[in-house]
Amino acid sequence: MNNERSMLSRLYPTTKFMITIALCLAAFIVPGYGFSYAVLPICMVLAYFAGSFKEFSNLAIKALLMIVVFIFILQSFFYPGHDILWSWGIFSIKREGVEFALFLTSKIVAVASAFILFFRITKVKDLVHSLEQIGLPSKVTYVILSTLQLIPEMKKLTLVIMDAQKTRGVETEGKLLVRMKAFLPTLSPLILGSVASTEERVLTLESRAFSANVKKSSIYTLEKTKYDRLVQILLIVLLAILIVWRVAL
Amino acid sequence: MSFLTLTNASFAYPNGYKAVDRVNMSFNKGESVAIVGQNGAGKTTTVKMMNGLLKPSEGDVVIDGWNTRDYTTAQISRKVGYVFQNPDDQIFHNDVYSEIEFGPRKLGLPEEQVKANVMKAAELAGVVPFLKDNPYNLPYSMRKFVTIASVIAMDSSVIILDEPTAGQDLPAMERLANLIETLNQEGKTIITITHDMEFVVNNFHRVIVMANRQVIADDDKRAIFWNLDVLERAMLKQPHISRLGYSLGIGHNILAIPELADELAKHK
Ligand SMILES: Nc1ncnc2c1ncn2[C@@H]1O[C@H](COP(=O)(O)OP(=O)(O)OP(=O)(O)O)[C@@H](O)[C@H]1O
Ligand SMILES: [Mg+2]
Repeated sequence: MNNERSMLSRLYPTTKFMITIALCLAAFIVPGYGFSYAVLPICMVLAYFAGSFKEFSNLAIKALLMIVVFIFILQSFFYPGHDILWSWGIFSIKREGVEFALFLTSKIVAVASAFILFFRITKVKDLVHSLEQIGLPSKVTYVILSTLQLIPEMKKLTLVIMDAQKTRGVETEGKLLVRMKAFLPTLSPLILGSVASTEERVLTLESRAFSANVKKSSIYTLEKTKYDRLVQILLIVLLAILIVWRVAL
Repeated sequence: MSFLTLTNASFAYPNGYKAVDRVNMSFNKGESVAIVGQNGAGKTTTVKMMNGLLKPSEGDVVIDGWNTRDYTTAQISRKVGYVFQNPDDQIFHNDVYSEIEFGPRKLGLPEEQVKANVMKAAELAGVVPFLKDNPYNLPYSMRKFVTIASVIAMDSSVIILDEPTAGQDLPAMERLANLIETLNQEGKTIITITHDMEFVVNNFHRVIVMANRQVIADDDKRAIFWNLDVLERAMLKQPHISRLGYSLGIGHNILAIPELADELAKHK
């Protein structure tokens, strides 16, 4: 499926990271909340070109909706202010609160979408490889790699254990309570399994000369193409224009 | 009446890969059947549909009148027991006894019955000496027998063994053969996936051949192992003795050594 990766996903990880940073900066440079909210659809479009529109949109909307709604409710009711828009008993929505909520959530949406996009279109392997190229020691990059992989691996392992338990008569499907009850017994095998696999991982790493004190080469290569240059220049120019426009105004 | 039926059952994994394509199979109570086919043919996916771990994306799987769509795997586990291909996907206890005991206890059997089931299963699988050990410390081949015991202990009417012969030595193979025979005589339906054609010849009559997501043959072993066209399509080899008979140009249905000896005597 990934043989013909789109141009966007073929960019060098640092270039992708620059896109993310540029989007975040832009969200703070442009006044108001309109543009900041617009970062989400922009990211969706970018994700579409990277071929992961569905996964990105699902994740971003699910994660952000909760946060946004929650902040809105809290801020509009409890932010100190005088300009009351609507009230019910002792509760009242104040304009200052709504404005603050708009400001806060728009920035959160912008920054979070930009970062979710980065992790969606960048393979962990590529990221770690580029960090190594920059000169980070492999022990540090390994820690980054294994931390980033921890959650998806745990998730996979949980599913495996749940499958095993299902076939032995544990109900795991259905209501939330049933699923929660099913989750608890997976914890101990999950942790024990992780510990057991650590031992094997150490042996594997050592058998591949992980701690050898020499410079290592890698058969995995990532190349910076002319597009990377192009995108980087484009980003810098755009940011510069934004700043000039903002200052001149 | 067949006890377990797959009707035009297909399955596609979440990534869109169709691993099984319109498969039809049916098993009577008390049958013992081997499923063979090369890596990736879709064997594991097919049997995982038989206990509801995977629900068919099209078609139906019906067990003893239950359509797997309407029941959870936990409910189906009373009728169909599945021994995973990889024992490490199945074991989740720190000692062998608790591992075997887990299933029958979950079924809510009385204490005495649980104990009896565990001991019977442990004896059949030959894991009695290891009951107190941590399964993670046992070698792969023994771990596999632990998982087999833990499924036998649930006393389901169908037992599916996914590649029990992989990496087993001769005594282990004999234990396996004996275990299949015993369970079969108790009236259980045994479905075994294996890559060992000798094991198939020695222990089964009916053989199902899968290739490329589908069932390409379902017949008596003699018909299968002398249907060179089917074997070629499934990238399988005849059992050694049949191959010898074939290259000597004698007989066209030899499977075992005594038959070969008879045939050779005729040609003397
Ligand atoms: N979780 C999964 N997601 C996507 N594809 C899968 C998954 N599990 C298996 N497959 C693919 O489905 C196909 C059939 O797999 P299956 O495990 O059923 O084969 P098999 O006949 O049991 O092979 P083997 O002899 O190697 O066990 C394979 O090509 C495999 O790569
Ligand atoms: Mg398999």
